[in-house]
Amino acid sequence: MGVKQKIKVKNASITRANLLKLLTQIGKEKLLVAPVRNEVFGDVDFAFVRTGEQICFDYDNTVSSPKEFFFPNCECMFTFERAANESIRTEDSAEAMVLFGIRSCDVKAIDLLDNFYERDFQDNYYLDKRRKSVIISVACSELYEQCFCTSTRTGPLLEEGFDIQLVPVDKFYSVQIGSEKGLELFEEYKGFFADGKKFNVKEFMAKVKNAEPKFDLDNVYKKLRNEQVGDFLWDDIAGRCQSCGLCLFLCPTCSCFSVTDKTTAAGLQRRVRQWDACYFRGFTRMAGGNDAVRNNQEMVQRKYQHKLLQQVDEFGICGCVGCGRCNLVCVGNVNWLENIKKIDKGA
Amino acid sequence: MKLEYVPTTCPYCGTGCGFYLKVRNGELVGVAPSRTHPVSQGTLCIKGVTAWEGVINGDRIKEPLVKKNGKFVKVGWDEALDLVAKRFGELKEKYGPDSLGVWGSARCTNELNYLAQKLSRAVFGTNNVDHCARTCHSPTVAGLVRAFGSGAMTNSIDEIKDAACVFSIGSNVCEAHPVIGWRVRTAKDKGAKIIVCDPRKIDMAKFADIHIQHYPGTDIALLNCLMNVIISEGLEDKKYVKNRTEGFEELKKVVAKYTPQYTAPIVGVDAAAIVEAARIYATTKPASIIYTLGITEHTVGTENVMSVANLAMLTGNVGVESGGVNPLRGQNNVQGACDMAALPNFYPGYQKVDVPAVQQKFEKAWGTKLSPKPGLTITDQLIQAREGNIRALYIIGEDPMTSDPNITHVRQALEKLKFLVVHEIYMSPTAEMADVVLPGASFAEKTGTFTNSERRVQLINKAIEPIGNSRPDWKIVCEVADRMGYPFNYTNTSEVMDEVAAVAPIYGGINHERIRKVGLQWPCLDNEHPGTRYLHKGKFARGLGKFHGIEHKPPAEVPDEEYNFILSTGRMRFHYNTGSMSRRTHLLDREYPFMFVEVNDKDAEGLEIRDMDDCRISTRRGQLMVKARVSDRVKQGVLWMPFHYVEAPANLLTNDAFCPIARTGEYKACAAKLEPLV
Amino acid sequence: MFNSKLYIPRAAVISDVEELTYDTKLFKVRFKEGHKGNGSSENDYKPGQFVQVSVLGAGEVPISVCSSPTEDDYFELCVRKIGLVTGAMHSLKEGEEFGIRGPYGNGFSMEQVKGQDLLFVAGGIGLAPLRSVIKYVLDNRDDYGRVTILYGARTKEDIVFVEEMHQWGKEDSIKVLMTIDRPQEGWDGHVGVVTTLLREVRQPTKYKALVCGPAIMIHFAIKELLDLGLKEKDIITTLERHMKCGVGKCGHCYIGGKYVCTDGPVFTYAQLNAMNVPL
Repeated sequence: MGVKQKIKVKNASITRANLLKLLTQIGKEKLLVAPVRNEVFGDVDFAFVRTGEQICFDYDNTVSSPKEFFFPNCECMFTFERAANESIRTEDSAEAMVLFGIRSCDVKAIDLLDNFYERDFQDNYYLDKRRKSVIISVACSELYEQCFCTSTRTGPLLEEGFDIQLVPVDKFYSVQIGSEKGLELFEEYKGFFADGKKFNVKEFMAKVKNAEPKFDLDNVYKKLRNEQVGDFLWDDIAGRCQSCGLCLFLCPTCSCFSVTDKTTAAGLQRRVRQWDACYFRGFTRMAGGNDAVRNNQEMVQRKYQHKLLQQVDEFGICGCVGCGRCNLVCVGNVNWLENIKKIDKGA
Repeated sequence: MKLEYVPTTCPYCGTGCGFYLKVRNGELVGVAPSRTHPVSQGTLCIKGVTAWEGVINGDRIKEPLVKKNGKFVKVGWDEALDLVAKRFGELKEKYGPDSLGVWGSARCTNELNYLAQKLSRAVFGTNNVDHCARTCHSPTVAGLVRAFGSGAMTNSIDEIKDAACVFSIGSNVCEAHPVIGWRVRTAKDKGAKIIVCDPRKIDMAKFADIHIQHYPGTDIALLNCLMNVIISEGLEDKKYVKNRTEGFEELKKVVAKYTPQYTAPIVGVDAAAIVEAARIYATTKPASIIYTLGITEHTVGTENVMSVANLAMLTGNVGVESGGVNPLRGQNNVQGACDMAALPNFYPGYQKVDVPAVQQKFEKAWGTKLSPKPGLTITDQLIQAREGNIRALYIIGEDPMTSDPNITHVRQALEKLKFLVVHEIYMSPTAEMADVVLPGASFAEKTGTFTNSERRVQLINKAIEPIGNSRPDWKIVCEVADRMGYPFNYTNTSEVMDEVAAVAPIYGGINHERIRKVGLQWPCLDNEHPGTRYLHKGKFARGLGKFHGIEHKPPAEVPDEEYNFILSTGRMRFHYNTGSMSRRTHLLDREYPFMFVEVNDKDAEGLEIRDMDDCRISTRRGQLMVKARVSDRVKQGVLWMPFHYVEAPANLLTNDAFCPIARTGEYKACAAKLEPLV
Repeated sequence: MFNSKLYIPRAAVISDVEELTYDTKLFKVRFKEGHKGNGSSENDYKPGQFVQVSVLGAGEVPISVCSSPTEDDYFELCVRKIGLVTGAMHSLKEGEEFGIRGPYGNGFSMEQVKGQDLLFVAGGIGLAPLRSVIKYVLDNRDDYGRVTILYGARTKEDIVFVEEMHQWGKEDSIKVLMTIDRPQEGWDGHVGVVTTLLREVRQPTKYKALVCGPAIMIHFAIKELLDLGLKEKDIITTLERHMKCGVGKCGHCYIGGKYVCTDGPVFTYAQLNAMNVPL
């Protein structure tokens, strides 16, 4: 998604004031998604906005990941009538969107999902929406308490794999273009941008707060590959997990879904796909009761093996992007980051 | 393309988590958690996460239904409401107001419940108004009112995580209230001592420091024994007992005989475990007691509650932060339905019906004469319906044909009625028996308030339009009242809550504007009052806490030669009550789509039953063919079943024996036998 | 591919239904006239592949194709009634329709086993996917060596394709042995689990073994075959999993870093070992 190349654009920048104006203009002309603070409970999450004023700039990361816009919680695959296959109708519901405010970790996650939904068979539900979207991401100048993107090597700044990246520097943002799509959007709204100084990655990274990696990813990979993780870690997690699914539903790289045929309250028959997660026993269990996953210890291991080992093998990207969302939602106090550290230190 | 996040409160259990309903183009498509919400703080359980799916299933009732010639016919609202008003009017005329009954709903809003009891009292003229708190926590109200003066959870949910000791009895908190279970887990992770008393190896028992696996129905003996040990070792909080309580001598006399040696065989637990638990609980402060239906759903339910209260007072744990006696209310608004007095003996705010000054206050507020006679509970309404004394029932959002004990008797009661009206969102066994079914709007389709277990009044916000032709239940009740000659003139639920605040002092400072963001915990006496985190600080609601000396009494039906097991019933994590919503949710039903009976592996071996074998479980009231789940989870001699499956209702088997004070059924203990089906 | 759009089923009609046992039916399926999908015909699949079968309104499940692509104009599905969707399939009659997506999966590599002796070890309904290979081999008899088929079922009422197996056994170069778990009136054949039949196989190490059946049967069969000296790469099985998409996206069948629907369902024992799949 987006050509992975450095597009040569003379160094650009944008002030916060102009960014607000830019976003307001985009909001007038296109579908714009940006972080918004809910005025009742106060959480920050992505929403459709019309003006720059609606956007929240003061947040660490959103509660939900932006995958909702390409891989929604629940979407209709097709409608049908009376079990007749010829009555199947799909909707072409993919709309062009600009998404602003996505953090580097989440952009990396989208990159991984792009690879996943594209390889072998092309998942058009995801890809149609994705192809029509452009992302203006914002790099982070500090790692927040729950973050560990430097450990998973997925942030706080990306050197490739983005459309337009804004990096906060002093009182403005350095603007980088990373793809054809990004370039096109940049050209369309050229007037809001200005020339800028040459951006120095090393200089920026040296100033990022709390950037010290919290674990050694390569060592974790090795430990998992060689099965050098003690049973008591899996026992502990299995004893705590209560199958709420939140850690996986909020995870920006999780892509599993279930499919059911439903009749809506309005009487429409549909095949629907909705988020699913591997932390339910029913996820693998077959109709007759057989289950390839024999116990909860095996169930909880999957997340670690899939993200920290198998996705690294398959895509060369760590399946965890260090956003830390899953550490903030567990009723069993399972802490993914702490557990990875335990694996690293030789639990 | 519109995607909205509508903040609201969960419609499932009494924890009252906050989350956002995701709405896309006018349809519910998901749920997102709220990190800042005071109760859920970023977490949810799988029921909350999938709450969007349970209310939008294709078989929602979309039109009013009237039974004609034994079959339901779809009719317009006017026809249905006219019929309801007419029939209730006729029956009131012919048989008197006390031949009618109104059932409020612990699943519906405070505003609905206030109006339902107002309908019953001001329009029908009877105090026969009640709701399903009767099936669960009415012993809590009765027991704690007697012991403390106030029948609600004394402390707040979040305080539990800071307790130094959590004592749980008759509660499966990690499955039935996962976000409260989170606080217990956090307390444990911070080094707290956890004591769990439950006949099953529930999730909490696995990380507990002590698990007392006692027989169902032996809680008084166990609690008395714990107090016996505490007193004989001089571990009671002497200062607290002296200054803040009365009745200690009576308690001391009664518990004297419940020594560990005496009690161990009754409860089926090692004496040493009881002694250790007593020592830990008494000396680790602050200690928080949590209990749920294992305590209340017995013929001695009220007395069980008073015993729990005894234990807490003995060790000085009431009126302190992170201590207290914490009954975990099961339903999203059962606390509220009680507060709003969908109860036969109270007016809103727990003001007694048979106190003339109170009656006068409400007569003035409502502009009509009211009955001084306390009414019948739902338990007794059903009994009286079988006797032919209750002629008509108006049931809102409840399914006694699945949730009340001994369904056969429930059926006989409902069959004898001359007129039955049911508000429902989906057809249920009770709705099938109705003369009129009125389609209600779900939690996502209306604005109103729920009150959670820690007395926090919170808003639910309308996210989508009512499905089909359904209407919010509070509006339906207004229409019925209007047609019966007493106009209920409210334009929205906020106005209803304003009226509640005017008549119920504990809700005095509650209004929709003030509770918009984080809710408010009652008592909240006026618009400046910040709400109350924990109760009985400094002094009890009744002044001094009262000890009651209580003797152990076995359940109404105990095992014998033929029915040699104790059958207990309860809840699972993935389903909710009668399953009306959870069975229609993909990720929930997939986890456990079928009814079962939990058997101890040693018992199963003796009966030659293996895991997943079909078997027959019978009691004197009925029998069911179900799958056996064999493990060491349930105590030997005990069988356990969930009650979530309408096609195999556990309450076909349970005993309609009731606590004489609170009228709650003994769901937790009756005698059963189990046979393999070859 | 039968269907032109990834997740949209192609209409197919049931041209015949046969009751094989009390809970198993054999459906003969043809694509519906005028529903070209992407133009491919009913025999564009490999033995060992599966299709995602929809009964719209009930759902969709993966079912192995149990006929051989050498048969014209139709393919066959052997379906055991065990859940919501298979139950809905069983209620359908001739002329009624399914939706079909596929064929998916890697299938058995018939090229790789050319010239080899083939030992089929099947339990219960596990014979169904192996039947696809057996019929393919029979239609290309000269390309393959000895064929031995060992079949076991719980009771005689559970045996599927019994007449066909008798037919196959009539050929000179094909040996068919059947067994049931426990003695039963009306059965005078071999008694014992299917692994007991392995003793009857001469020169077992010359065979490539294809195993399919209940998980526990596969476990013991593979153990026996290894004990008899077969190499891990010469023991081949096909796995059953809960699947929703069949195309490597929904995640349900993922195990040991592989998707059973795209990397499998046919795997050698050597591969399963490397994936750490418990058998």
